[in-house]
Amino acid sequence: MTGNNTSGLYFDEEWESDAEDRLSVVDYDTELGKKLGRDAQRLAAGEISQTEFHEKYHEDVVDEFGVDERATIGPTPEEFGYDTDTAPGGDGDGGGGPLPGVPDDGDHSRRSVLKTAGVLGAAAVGLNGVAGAAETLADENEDEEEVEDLQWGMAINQNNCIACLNCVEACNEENNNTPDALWMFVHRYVEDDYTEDEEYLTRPCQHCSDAPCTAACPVASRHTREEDGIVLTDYETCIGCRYCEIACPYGVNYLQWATPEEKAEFKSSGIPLDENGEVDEDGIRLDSDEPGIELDSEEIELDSEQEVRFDTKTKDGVEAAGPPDHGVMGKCTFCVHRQDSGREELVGTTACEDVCPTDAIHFGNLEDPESAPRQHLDDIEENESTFRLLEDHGTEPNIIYVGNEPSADATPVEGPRTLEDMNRDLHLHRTDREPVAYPSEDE
Amino acid sequence: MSQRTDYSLNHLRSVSTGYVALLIVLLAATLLTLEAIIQQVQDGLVATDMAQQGTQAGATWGLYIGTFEWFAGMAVGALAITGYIRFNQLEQYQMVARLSNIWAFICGLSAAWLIIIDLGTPHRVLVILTSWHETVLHSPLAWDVTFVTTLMVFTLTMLVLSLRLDFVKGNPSLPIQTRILERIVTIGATPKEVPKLEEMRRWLGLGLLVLAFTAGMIPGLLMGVVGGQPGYFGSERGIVFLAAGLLTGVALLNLTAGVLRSLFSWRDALSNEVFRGLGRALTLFGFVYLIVLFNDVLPVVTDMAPFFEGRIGEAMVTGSLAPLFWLSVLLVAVPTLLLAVFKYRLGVTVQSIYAVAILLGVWIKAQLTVVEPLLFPNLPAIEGTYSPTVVEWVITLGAMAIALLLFVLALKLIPLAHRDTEVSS
Amino acid sequence: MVLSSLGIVVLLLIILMPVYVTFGGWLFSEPRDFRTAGIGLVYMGVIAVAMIGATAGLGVAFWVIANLPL
Repeated sequence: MTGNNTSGLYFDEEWESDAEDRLSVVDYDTELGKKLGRDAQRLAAGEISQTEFHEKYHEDVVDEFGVDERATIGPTPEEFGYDTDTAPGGDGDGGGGPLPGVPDDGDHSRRSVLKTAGVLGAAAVGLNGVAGAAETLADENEDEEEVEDLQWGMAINQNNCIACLNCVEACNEENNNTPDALWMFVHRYVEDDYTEDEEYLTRPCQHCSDAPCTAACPVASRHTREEDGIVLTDYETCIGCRYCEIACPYGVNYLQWATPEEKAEFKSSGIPLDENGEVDEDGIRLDSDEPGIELDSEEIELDSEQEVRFDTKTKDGVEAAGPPDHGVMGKCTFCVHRQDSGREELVGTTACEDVCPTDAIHFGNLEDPESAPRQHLDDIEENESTFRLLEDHGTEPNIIYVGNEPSADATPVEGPRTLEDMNRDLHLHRTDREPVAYPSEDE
Repeated sequence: MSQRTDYSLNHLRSVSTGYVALLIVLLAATLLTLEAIIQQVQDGLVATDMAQQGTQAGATWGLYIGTFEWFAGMAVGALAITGYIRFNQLEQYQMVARLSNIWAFICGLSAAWLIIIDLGTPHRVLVILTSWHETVLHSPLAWDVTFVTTLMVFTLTMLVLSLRLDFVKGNPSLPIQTRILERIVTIGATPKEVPKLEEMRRWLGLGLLVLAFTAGMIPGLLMGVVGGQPGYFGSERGIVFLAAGLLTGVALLNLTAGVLRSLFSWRDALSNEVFRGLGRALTLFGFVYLIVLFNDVLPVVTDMAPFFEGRIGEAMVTGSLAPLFWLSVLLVAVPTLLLAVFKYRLGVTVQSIYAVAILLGVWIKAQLTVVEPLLFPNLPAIEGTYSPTVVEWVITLGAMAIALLLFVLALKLIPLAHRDTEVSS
Repeated sequence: MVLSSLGIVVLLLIILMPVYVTFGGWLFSEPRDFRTAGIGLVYMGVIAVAMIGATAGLGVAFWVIANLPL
């Protein structure tokens, strides 16, 4: 406890300025945040009651976040389903109680809301003083990992997907992949001849808990990280035999057939930094002009200490992030360079999730009931079905889909990648390759 | 028909114009292959037409792996023949045992380097060995490497041991290169060890038979690892591999023995009786292969077959790949039926031609087995295409040329049968 | 992992079976002659080492080819 008064409250000038810094990272009202944080500490110190606290800010919270999920009247936080022991800034950390949260409203992602909550929660706790306030949800997840399991995974809502391919492009840009390596892909298909309805299947690596690719690998290069369940390829030992691709029923593996040209860039500059070393809160390059994505106009300066350069090595020193070398197998890494970056605003995010304009992709710890994917699955309508892809293969995938699984005889239809795109990518290095065609409708 | 002649060691010495011409052609083919290998190793697998299945609309594996399976199967067939003859001490077939022994090693070697050439980073091949202890328990490729290495060690040991026995038993005048070979394989040899050597050769023969037997037991289990791939999974995988291997092994021996007999007129070491035996084996394994093939393919075109398997079966039996599939069937079925009907009345030359047809038929089917399932992804993605590049064709056909070159060179080094004294023809 | 424990059984009982048969036969069949059997084992060992060494050599050769300034 580093508080400077007897009640353990801590909101002097230093606290003010730090809270402002912290809150400037997120999209929401800084003043409201500071007030909430101050009173949350009073609440924690027992100076005001929970009901008082909730009532005081109910209107402001509704104005700012669209809805106030905090229990004002009626059910206690526990009854509401909010586990105050494991929640950010929850009782386990010395008090605080439920924090503002909103369902996905299309404008603000749940993750950014949770981040706000995380910042405020930490402020409310005051446990580590100002330093504690810097803790975010993501970091706290990491802390919890000591007592709880961590399994990164995704909930992907196919009912939200509009096949804009932003995720595909963001993935390739983030990982500096060649356009023919589609670590993220969106399949477009029709189910039968009677409906014209086109459906989509967003397909990253499924990061299976029982991954057949790891069993097939003759050099133990393809491996599952025990601490967080990410399935990775050690680029330094992979022999390029492609057995993992044969073993994978999802077709997520991409050999680097030719020499990658831009690997050096990934290594030296890192993805989230633009020329000026500036990023937005989700690590998106501020110079990005992806259509359909609203980027925050606020810019933060990163001092040299904070500047984390993305490395192709993971935190264990395994060469497994970014694009693979010539002749080596690559696939979606769940943006392992972000998970290992040590930067709270990047841990628990992926490039595809960041850019999804319809909030179809939710990345997080599947073991944590408060994580984005788990929350999303809790929030979906009762009549919406969920599935894991090709589950009967026994691979135990860690992507949970909302929507309908494509049947075995689903017919692929052109797009969202056009034939021209496809053939251009296919002929990038091999001009002799036969042009491809989608099955004709007469068949 | 030339006059009946006994086996002599003349093949070690005589260098005919035809031999030189063949050698030059094979050496040229080898150089061309080396050129293609250098090109591929420098450029990477982008020199091939292989591509990711699904979104790259390709086949992940191609000619190299198909030809690897063909060579590996042939090696198993050849080593089974060696083992069978050595274990049962069929002295009448001793030249066939030696020929199949040489071929088993050469086929194993060809299979081995074809795997390596198929790797994205062939220079890392040693990693397979250094991580072997932890991957051999579940990785098909680690097992492939184990198996091919064991196969080469066992066949080479059999070659050394049987040559040692031959050299110890009798010591005719030998050309210089064979004399060096003799020195190497007879270190510490005494005439007293002949009975023990015969016994050891017999036990090693049993070891080879067991090796062929285990070769048929493992693939089913290992392909279970890659169960995600329709067409690669199934309890019959080992049987399919073994049936094809035994057939091609016998066919290769038929062809080699037929050509050697017509070249050198060895009517004792390669007697009519030997050819009747080889012909019987070819007929038997031809039928076994066809039965296994139909059991492997036909059920998947029934309505009850799982969808993905059915789609592959259909493409093979009636779809885009049907011409190749039925060609491969005919190339095996017609010779097998003719052999069954006419037996050996058609003569050694015709039997050799049958053998060529069968080798080609099984090779085509080996390509289909590898490539075809890969053209059909599980998820609704585009069907793939695969048209091997010139580099792939040169390396694949070059592998066959190099195998033949090694065999032709071995003919000048290794006595093909035991002779107590030299008999001039 | 079930596959791994099954793999050990497969490795020890099946894949190594030819080795057991051969070595057992060499050492214990009549006539007993450990000298000749020993020489056979040495030959086999040398061949095995040579095969593995050749694989390593191939790796080096491919590395050289890949880095040739052509």
